[in-house]
Amino acid sequence: MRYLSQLGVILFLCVTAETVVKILPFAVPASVLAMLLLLALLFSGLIKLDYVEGTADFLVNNIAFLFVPSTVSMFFRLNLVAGYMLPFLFICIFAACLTFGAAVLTTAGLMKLLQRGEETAANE
Amino acid sequence: MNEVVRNPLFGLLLCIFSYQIGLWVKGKLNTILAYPLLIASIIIALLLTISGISYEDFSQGGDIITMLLTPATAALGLTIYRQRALLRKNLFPVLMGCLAGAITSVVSVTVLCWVFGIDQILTASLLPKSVTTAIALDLSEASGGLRDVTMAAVIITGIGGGIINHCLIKLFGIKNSVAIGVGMGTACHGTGTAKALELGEVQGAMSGVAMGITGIFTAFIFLFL
Repeated sequence: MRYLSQLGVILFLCVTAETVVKILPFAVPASVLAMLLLLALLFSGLIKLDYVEGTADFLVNNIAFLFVPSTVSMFFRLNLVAGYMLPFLFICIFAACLTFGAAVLTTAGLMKLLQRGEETAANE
Repeated sequence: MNEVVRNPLFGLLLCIFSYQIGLWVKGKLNTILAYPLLIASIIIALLLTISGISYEDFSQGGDIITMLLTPATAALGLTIYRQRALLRKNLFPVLMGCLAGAITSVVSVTVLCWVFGIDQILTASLLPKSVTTAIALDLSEASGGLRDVTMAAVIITGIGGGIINHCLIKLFGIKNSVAIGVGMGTACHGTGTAKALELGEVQGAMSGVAMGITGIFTAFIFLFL
């Protein structure tokens, strides 16, 4: 029963988010909005951890499995880029590596910089 | 036989069964390249092609699983909440990491498409490939791209980028969990977040945050294209 009510809370947030994104004038995925809603409600204390914990953990722990059908669909869409297959694959993967590198270096670099600043301030 | 394969439970069962094989292979080989999601998808794609079962029949059950991606992404809110102290402490580096990633993604795709002589429609379809599907499809359509091609690009980026970036983490010995999470979510959206969750809860939480923020930043960058 606990898991069912937790699923109910999560689905309620999803349905609310699905409704709100239809009204918004710009593109926001309902899933991201539902995530922000849950986060806001947890911060406000309106939702306690045990309202969602077990079911939310189950869904998050199995999130990779939920991508299986979308990945299968990719194999049936590749014919759309038949003439450009190799450059298409290369661009997708190489650009993802560059993006990853830029995000990691910026985040790690700034974290180190801020930490050094805090240490200097503490020493003074 | 037709009635069996058209039953939505068939697609569901096929996904669970194939994913279990993927997990088993990963356990046996213990290598980054043995990615259960990819192994399961290859098994299903091969099975459908060889047996002649249509993709539409499979997707009756597959769509039920895909539908659960929305509540699963929503549930990431809890993972992020548990890491709230770490996120609050590193909010500025996380935001800047996402911005740097979003700009790099758009610039690198534009340059690479130009180098390979790829036409404008395909370039527009590829540009939003690093963001989560819902935003990517809208951005692609708004800039004259093709939704189906964008969908394929988003998935290839998520799967391929996830595996290669995991190799890069090992190769360069990257230890900063926050930065790894931001990198995964920025470069490889939801699939990257699934991969990041395998690495740890901090990586998964930061990836979930980065996935959302990068989507918003990328949508903003598209206003200037």
